[in-house]
Formats: sequence, structure tokens, C-alpha cells
Amino acid sequence: MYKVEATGDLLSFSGQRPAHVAAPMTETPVEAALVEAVRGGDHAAFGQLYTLYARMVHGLLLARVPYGEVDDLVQDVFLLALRKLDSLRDAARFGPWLAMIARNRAMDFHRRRRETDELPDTLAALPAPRAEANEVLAIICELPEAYREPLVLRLVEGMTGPEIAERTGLAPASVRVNIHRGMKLLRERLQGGGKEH
Amino acid sequence: MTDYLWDKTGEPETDVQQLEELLGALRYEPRPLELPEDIVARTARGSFRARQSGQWQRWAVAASLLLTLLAGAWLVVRFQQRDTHREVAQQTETHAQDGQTAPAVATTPNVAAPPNVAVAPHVERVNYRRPARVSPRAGTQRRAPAVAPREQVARNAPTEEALLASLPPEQRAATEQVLLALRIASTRLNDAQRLVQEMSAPRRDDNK
Repeated sequence: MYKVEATGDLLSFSGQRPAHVAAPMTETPVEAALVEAVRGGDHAAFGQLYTLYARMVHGLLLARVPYGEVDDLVQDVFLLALRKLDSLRDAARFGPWLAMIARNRAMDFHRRRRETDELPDTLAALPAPRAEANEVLAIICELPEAYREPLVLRLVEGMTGPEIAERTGLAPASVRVNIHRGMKLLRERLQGGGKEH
Repeated sequence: MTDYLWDKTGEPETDVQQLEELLGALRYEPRPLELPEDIVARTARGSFRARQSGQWQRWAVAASLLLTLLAGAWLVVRFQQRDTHREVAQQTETHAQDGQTAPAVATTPNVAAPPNVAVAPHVERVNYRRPARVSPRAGTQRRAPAVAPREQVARNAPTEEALLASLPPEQRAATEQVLLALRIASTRLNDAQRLVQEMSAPRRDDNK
């Protein structure tokens, strides 16, 4: 087995512009260069892509599957992406492509779970702070899918709105609307459920 | 306009901050990515494929050069053929002027001409006029077109076989070889072009 470690080089690599400012469309994204490097056999470049996108993939999966399953699925998603990297035509669209793989993997997880009829994770298995967080996450996951994804990325993963738009390939305007509407719904649900935050 | 929920600028909203702190417990914790050996090997093959694609372009250039050479050779042979036809036609006209019987109609191109009969591709053709046909119902006569239809003209044009038949045996063999080589080169280039198109064809499903 090979291990690709996330190194500090990545920070300087991605730190060319502030994190909250979306990249202009004319600029060649860092991702494209990294994808080409991976295609050329550079595994360290894939490590950099992993570091750049692991948080997004984690958030996308967390919005769909139980917390205990997410870490393994993140690895699955990246392995799948590496296997299928040749099929990615536009290297600059790595983020949206990876997000689609993550969503499909989450769906696949639920399909397999239904087939094998496994028992769901219990909240009692988690430590107290995480259990409470998981309760709130469960409420977020009951929201419509369009709101669920950006809210998890924003509140759980700590990404900013422009960052979410850039990574997932969604329009910043729609991300903004979905975050605000989702937050409004979440406030209503939390107040309605008797939780004070 | 500052918006803490959107880009973390401006004054923080209390409930949003509290949610961030609470849900931060579930945040992604970095861990190394483990790559199986088969994937590593596959990626290495991917780089080999990239090298191969460059080699493929070189082959395409070589093939186009070969095609150019073959086309040049074919044109030379073609010019020689034309000269031969011209000479044969001149001989035919001379014989006609001397009182010998000349062929009234151009030889049918699809039938191989006997070696002693000249086939002149540029001999003037007599416009064929179809005999008037009597309609069985009305009994009226339909007038035949004054000019022969285009298909008929094309049919009367000398074909490759007729042209080859008019050549001396050695020249005919050489011409046939050149034509065969051209056909093979053309087929190869078509295959190459199709492959290149398939390689560069958009794969829509992958970039969703």
C-alpha cells in the first residue's frame, strides 16, 4: 500500500488568492495542473488534490450518510476518482466531477445497505458532544437536498459560500440563496423542536 | 455588504457561530489517503499512454507525407496516360481521314475494348435522341429530351478499366500498382482519422 501524505506545500499552492474569492474563469485552475500531473504518473499531485477536496467530499457525504461511515467513503471516493481520472475530459472541472462521484457513492451506499439490511448507527455509540452535533446534523439532513449540502459544507466543514461554489462548481448566487433559505428553515426546525442555539 | 453566513465577513451571527462550534465536532479530520498498488500501476500505464499519443501524431505526419508522395506519383502516371490517349486519338482521326472505317459511337466503357480498337475519351459524342414513344392510352407522342441526361453522360465517360485497357501492358501494371498503393494508403488514413476522432470525442457523462 502507498500512502500519500498531505504536505504543507499545498497551502502555498492554494494560497495564491484569498479563500473566499472565487477564481476568475480565465485563470487556469490549480486543479487542472494537478490533474495533468496525476495523469503523468505523479502520485504526490493526487495527494494535493486529496487535501484540497477531502473537506468538500467529507461534507457532501456527511449530508447523506451516517457520520461513522463517512471517513471510509471519503477514501472510496478518492480511489474511485483516481481510477476514473482518464475519463475526466476537462481537468479544470475536477471539483464538480468529484462531487458527482461523492453523491453517487452515497446513493450506492444506501442501495447496498438496503440490500444487506444492516442496522442503522446508534447515536449512543458516539461521544456526548458528537451525539449532540449528530442530532443537529440529523435535522439538517431532513431539509431539502438543495439546502442540506451547502449548510453542511458551511456549518460543519467551515467552508465559506464562495469556496463552496468554487469547489462544487455551483453558481455562487444559488449557493448563497440556498445557504440563507436553508438556515432560515433550520432555525425554524430547531426552535420548533425545542432546541436553543 | 457584509454577510457572516455567506463569507464570514462582518459581525458574526450568534446562532450561526454556536452551530459552527457544535457541528465543528463532526468536521473532517485529515488522514492520509491509501492507494492500492494496482492503482499506482494503472496510473503509470496512463503516463505511458500519454507518451504513446505523441508517437501516434508522428505516425500521422509520416502517413500524410507518404500520401502526398503517392498522390504525386499518381498524377505523373495520369499525365502520361493522357498523352497516350491523345496520340491514339490522333491516330484514329488520321485513319478516318484516310478513308478507313472509324467507330461511329464511342466504345462502351464498361466493356473491355479489344486491343486493336482505339478508345478515345475525348471523341465527340453524338447526342443520343430517344425514339418517339407512342403512349398506349392517349396515343400522343412524347418528345424526347434534346440533351442526354447527366447520368447517361456519366455512364459514357471512360472508366478506370477502359483507361487501363488502353495502356501498354507494362504501364498498365505500374499504374495498377500505384492505384492499389493509393487505395491502401487512403484506407489507412481513414482508419487513422476515425481513431483520432474517437479519441477526441466528448464524453458528456464524465463531466457532469
